[in-house]
Amino acid sequence: MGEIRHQSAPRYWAHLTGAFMQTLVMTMRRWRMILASLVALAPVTIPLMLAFLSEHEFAESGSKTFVMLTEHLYLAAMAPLLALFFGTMLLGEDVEAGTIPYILTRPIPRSALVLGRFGAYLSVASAILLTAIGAAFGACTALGGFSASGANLMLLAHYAGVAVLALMGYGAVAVCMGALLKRPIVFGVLFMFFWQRVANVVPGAIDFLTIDKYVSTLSPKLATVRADPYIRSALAELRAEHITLSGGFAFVMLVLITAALLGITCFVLRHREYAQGGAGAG
Amino acid sequence: MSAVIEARGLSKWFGEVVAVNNLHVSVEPGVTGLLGPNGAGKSTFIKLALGLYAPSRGSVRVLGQRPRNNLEVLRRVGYCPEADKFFTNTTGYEFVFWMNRLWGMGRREAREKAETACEMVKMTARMHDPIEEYSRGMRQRIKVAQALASDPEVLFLDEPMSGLDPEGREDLFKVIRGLGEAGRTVILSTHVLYEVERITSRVLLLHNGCVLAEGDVRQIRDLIDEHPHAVTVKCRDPRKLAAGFVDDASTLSTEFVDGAVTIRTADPNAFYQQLNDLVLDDDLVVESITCPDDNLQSVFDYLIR
Repeated sequence: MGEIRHQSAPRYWAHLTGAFMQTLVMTMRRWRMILASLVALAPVTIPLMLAFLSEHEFAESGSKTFVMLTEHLYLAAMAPLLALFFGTMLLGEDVEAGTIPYILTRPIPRSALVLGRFGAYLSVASAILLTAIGAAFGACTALGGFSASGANLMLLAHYAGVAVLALMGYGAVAVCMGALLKRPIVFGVLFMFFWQRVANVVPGAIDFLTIDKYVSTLSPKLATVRADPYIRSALAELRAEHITLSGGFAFVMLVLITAALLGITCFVLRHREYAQGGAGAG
Repeated sequence: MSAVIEARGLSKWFGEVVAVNNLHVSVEPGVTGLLGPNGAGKSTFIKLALGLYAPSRGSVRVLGQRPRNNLEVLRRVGYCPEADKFFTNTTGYEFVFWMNRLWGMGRREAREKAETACEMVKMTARMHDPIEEYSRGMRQRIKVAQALASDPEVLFLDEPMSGLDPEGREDLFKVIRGLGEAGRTVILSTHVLYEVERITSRVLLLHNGCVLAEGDVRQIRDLIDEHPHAVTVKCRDPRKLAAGFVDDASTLSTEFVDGAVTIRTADPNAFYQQLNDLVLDDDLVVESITCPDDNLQSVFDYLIR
């Protein structure tokens, strides 16, 4: 601590990697990382059990099992769950734990903080989800009529891409909720597992206000022939007939929604007064 | 000398609670003690100066600029918050290292500066232990280390001494004094007058969000010496001792409790002189003399009356 030296401004990239690495390392050390991995990998046992029962009347084809698992479990349930697990804590945890004043008094551009942390979330959640989908694919080859052929590997790659986009969309919702709300998990559960279901069965265009709309549009054609009881409802059939999207539009919408929500998060970080204590703190 | 921190009509309220009220403050380089009881507005003032809060009215400038969302200001300041909060599952060194990385330092620089900062607060030996295993004083040192690591021009220390053992306090006194001598600006928030007296003579007294007094700490001391005191003397014969003060015009009241007498006096200096004489002349065996009013809170009570 000698004489005062004026420090030059660090580059944006340095802040971005700092936020990314800090979040990545902290997340990897959490128990919730192990828990989330176990939860994501647990369904892999389903095709293995089905393979054991393959001689029985309940036998399912490997192809159908993989599509069902990926669409109904990994994309519809696991991706939002991982977003809730990791996305809401990206900023929400610092707010709740009272460490946010340390971070907000660093000269880090708010966008670098949000993007760095979001990148870390996407890396961790994608690693978990893609490992689980890959393992499910491998397990389904144990069932009849499904092998690691070129076409099936393309199907796997397609699902992997959609899974990352789903994590991106749901993650943006979760990180925004973490910055805006006091109980982001509660509101996240309401949005992802209540609102999305309701919007799916109500006629009209309100399902455009869900992430699921765009994620399911991006799913492979093979998987769009669904046996979902929600979709089978007369109202939903009506809606499905009238409003269908192209894959390109769904992709662009997902990217735009993510960008908009991350932008809102940056704005909130700049304008909200997060510091703990408030009046009377001394 | 130009002001490093300047507040003009600065006010901050939360709902109906006024935390800082029309503050006009000018802080120059060196160490300044920010004194006040709990709830005086010290932390709020610091958070306003750091840009964590936006002023409800008025303005605050740090290094000539508005601090809110100003990265140029944040690059030149350090902050040790009052709250005892850290990332989970980290060591003291890692905490400082990651704070440096978020500051924008590269990996190597962050590592070097984290080590230097830990050394400054004498935490090198334990810096790789988990924070959960630290004592309150050690956690306090790590908080100070992360504030020092970026070599800031302006340092805000919010109750940095709380939880520190005497040795830790002494170490921190030295560090803060050194920073002041090096031309840095240090704002040291505390509610303990003694802590400020050890480091600086410049103080800013806050009470209920207002500046109560500003200037030399010795003036505050004089106020303590001038304002009415309650002195409790425990001795073998309290009534005999009290009799020596009864006729004194400056004696306001006497009260006997458990082998001791509490005398309220309007002239503390004369009281102590007379007490000295009485003890010597009458051979009273005095066990203890305590002065509950010789603290900052009593000065505030006196000043706001």
